[in-house]
Amino acid sequence: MRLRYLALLSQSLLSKIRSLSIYHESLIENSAICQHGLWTIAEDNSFYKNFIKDNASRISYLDNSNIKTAKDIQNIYNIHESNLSSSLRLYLIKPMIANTGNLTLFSTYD
Amino acid sequence: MINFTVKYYKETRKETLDTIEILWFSTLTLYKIFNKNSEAVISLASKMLGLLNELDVKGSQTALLKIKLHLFIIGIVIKQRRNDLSRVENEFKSEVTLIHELKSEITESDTIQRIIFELEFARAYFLYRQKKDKSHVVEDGQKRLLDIVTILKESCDKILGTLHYQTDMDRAKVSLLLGKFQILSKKGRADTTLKERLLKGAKEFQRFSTLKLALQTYYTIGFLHLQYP
Repeated sequence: MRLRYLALLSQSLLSKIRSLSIYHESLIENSAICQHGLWTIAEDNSFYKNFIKDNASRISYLDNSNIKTAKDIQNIYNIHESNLSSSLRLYLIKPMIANTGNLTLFSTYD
Repeated sequence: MINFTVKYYKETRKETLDTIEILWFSTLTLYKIFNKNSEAVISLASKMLGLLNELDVKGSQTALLKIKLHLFIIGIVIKQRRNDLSRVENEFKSEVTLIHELKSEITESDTIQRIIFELEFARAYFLYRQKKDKSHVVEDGQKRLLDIVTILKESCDKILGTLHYQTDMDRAKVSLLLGKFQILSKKGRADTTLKERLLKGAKEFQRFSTLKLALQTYYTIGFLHLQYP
């Protein structure tokens, strides 16, 4: 859940950055700001299907009309930077990666 | 008495990988946008590559994410480190080698073609920057200039010709680099075809809201009209 929220937050921030035209890709940008060719998110990505496609979900407070400059976005980013970095903690991710999603049968004794 | 309980984990392995794929690359991009220290940005990208290796998940999806991270590093290295071109060249070659190794894990032919396109475009852009900076003494300079055109027309254009969708933006990028090269070389003529390609490209950049590239393209068209009325 935490990873999903952070992914949604990062995507919402990028979307806001695009909509406010405060950052434009360069000729050799090669980052998530690109939305074409190799950089397009795969249609079969479950997070994309559930949360990004057709603007299914967004972080609503970013829609606030008071957020309109690069500085405004940076302030929000600064608050969340450490949270976003925390997504790199492998000890949290490894158990989730190990989960195959198969039904698991547990037995308990009364 | 034994009770049996069926538990189902909500987030499966694939869902976690799908989320990480988007989260890590977006996090890195945001870090790049708000952090002006290119070395720190490259360091974060390298850290992510190390973590992905540690996760030890094989397959197209993780291989592609790693390739994107290497291409991301190439983009920064070519643009930022302009004072030590031999170092840039070594780093560029090293990243390209790693991408070629990872490419063998990709199964979709369309994706492989797009990776090759990005590599070829980066090579052309790198040669263009070398010429533009003029700080690098190139003995076979004229040959390198011809190389840029050859890469863009014979390699990039041909690859895009084999792809059936989502090529307009990449075509626009190739046109812009051809236009920039034409201005830099100050030789030959900017034919009508190039001007038409540029105009089409500018509209494509606008469609994708990449206004900086659209402006650069209109500037290039204007400059070519002045240079070759």
